[in-house]
Amino acid sequence: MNHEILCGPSFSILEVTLAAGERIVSEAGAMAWMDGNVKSETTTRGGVLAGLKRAVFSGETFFQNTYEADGGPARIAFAPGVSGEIVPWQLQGEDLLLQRGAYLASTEGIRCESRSEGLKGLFAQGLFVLRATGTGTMFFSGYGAIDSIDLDGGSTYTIDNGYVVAWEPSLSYRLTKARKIRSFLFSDQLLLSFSGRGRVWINSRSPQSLASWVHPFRRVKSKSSGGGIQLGPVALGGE
Amino acid sequence: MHVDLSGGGLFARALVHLEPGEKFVSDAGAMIRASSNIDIDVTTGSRGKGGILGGIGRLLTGDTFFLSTYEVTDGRPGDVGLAPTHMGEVREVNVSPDEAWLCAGGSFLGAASTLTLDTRFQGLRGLLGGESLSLLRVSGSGTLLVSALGMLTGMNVDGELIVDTGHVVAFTEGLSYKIDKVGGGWINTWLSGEGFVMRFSGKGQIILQSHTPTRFGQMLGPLLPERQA
Amino acid sequence: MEHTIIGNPDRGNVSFTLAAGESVVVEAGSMSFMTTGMEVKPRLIGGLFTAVKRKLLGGESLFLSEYSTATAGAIAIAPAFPGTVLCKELRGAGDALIIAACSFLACGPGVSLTTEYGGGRSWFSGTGPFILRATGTGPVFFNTYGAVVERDVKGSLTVDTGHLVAWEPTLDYRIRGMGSIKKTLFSGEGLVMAFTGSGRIFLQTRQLGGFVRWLAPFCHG
Repeated sequence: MNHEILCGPSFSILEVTLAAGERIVSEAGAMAWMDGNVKSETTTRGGVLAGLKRAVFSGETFFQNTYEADGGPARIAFAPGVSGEIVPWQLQGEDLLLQRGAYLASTEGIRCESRSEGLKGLFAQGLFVLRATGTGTMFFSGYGAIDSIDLDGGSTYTIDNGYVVAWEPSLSYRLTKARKIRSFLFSDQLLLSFSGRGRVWINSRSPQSLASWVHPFRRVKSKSSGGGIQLGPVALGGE
Repeated sequence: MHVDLSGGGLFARALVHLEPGEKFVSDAGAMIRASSNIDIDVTTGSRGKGGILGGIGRLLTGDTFFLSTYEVTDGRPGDVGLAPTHMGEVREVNVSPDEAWLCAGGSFLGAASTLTLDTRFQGLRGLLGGESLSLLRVSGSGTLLVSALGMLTGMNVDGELIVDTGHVVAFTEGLSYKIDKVGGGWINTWLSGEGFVMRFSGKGQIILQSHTPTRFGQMLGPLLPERQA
Repeated sequence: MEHTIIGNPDRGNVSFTLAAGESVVVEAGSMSFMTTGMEVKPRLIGGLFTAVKRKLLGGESLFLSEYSTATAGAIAIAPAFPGTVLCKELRGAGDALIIAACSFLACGPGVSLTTEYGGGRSWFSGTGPFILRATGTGPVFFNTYGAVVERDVKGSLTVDTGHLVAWEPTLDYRIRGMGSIKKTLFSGEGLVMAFTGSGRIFLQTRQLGGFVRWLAPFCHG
């Protein structure tokens, strides 16, 4: 399998070229276009149809699609939902922890499981962390340009929790708050203090800031609204 | 104090380096990270109160805001990384005592505490909803950081220029302006899709942004889950 | 009329210089700044489009504004979201371009636009199933959400509808889900358009639906 990341850094897209029979796994909904004969399969995790609406919007579900080049080579493009960079990372026995929203795609030998790791409520209500294990290539993305910081065990690195995309489990972290805080708005200013040896990936825009900004533009719930939720190309619920 | 801007393209961020005794103020949500010797003091304020300012920050229509003030605690230099909410550029404006600047609320990223900030709220609630214009008057001497959705363009105005209000980032106080409708009559204005425009005249500098957060928000908002009132 | 596109690929926007008597047609609400003396008139696109349908579907307005000037003037416009602005010159006599409704940005007065139904429940990045057919003579400007990828299709290409911007009408397409309805819902893909034939297609690397799905879990209250 070959991969290419095009149109970086602001609106990066991942294109993979599969030989016949080769497979790639991706976040459901990430497929942008494809060339060639492709078979696809969806694995659904966490959530029966009844809870689906709410669960998808709260970020609690995690659906992956598996694509296979069928009878010939195929080229498939995957796009993250958010603007920003895509990072390819090789896993060889070392795990990777990432924000659930950061997962884009991975090769077959990688398994992703949701983990609370004592982090419930850390990033946002309902948002969980994925632990990727196995061998292969992981592709993750984030809002904005992504920088990587290598910690060498000597000092701690403190960052606002909205800006953490992924980190190696060899790092330990502590939750702290900004000092002398008098009051908060939508999101607590939580700071993560990383220490130890390993890499942490940070992005340059915060989803929480964007969510606060967009708040007044959202429609207000009315008693008459039937709960039909538009979810981009697919409308869930309603009928 | 000095500021390093990094990240060309849409994801610009600012690294503010502070010496002991210097203070910097920013929207509380803008901080990415801070060196361990920086003290962060988050305060709230509301419109109309004396002192810092009212009406800026991430809320378009709310009356409260959250500001963080950063200073070093231990006599050594320190730094604070700041990021705006939107995809876009960041620019440093050097404000000098001979001319104050007016900065659109949503475009304010941060300012040295040597500057005086006070609100000049316009109270515009356009027909199209979500349209409001709050201006911050920035005077004194020091660094002002502004940010954009998209690209920032600085222009010298000498004569007249008509600007859609959503594209105004900041301008020098010497420019006169009038808030107006774009077409003749209200129906034409509504159909044209434009909210309000600012008719600038005189001589001065203006900084514009290429895209409008309000328009982007109006497109995005209805597609997101509904909220409580 | 002269035009200048700046800011591509991330934050494209375009400005026009008009001579006396000239005009330009732009998406309603897209004006950034202009010189004094410009007049604006609303215009609706002909065809299937009605105000009621637009309200039901939500999304971007398909109202247009025509700016004209008695003396010389300049006007700068911007799309609603950051991305690339593209221009294609139409040369009359059957030359045409099909554009997803929300990607249309502006055109010269010699270009005609008609709305068509995209078929099925296709959804172009948030505006619903409308597509525009641009014909006539002059420039037509369209924008992407994200970066643009242009492909010359020879044979076939399957595209998630949210990533479609524009295509040449020499291409045929069929709309399909990714299997059964249940599979479509779970797979997360919206509907896809399977293009066949040969022609140029313009794709964008982001779509509003995907952005909404990514942002929704962070939205509370």
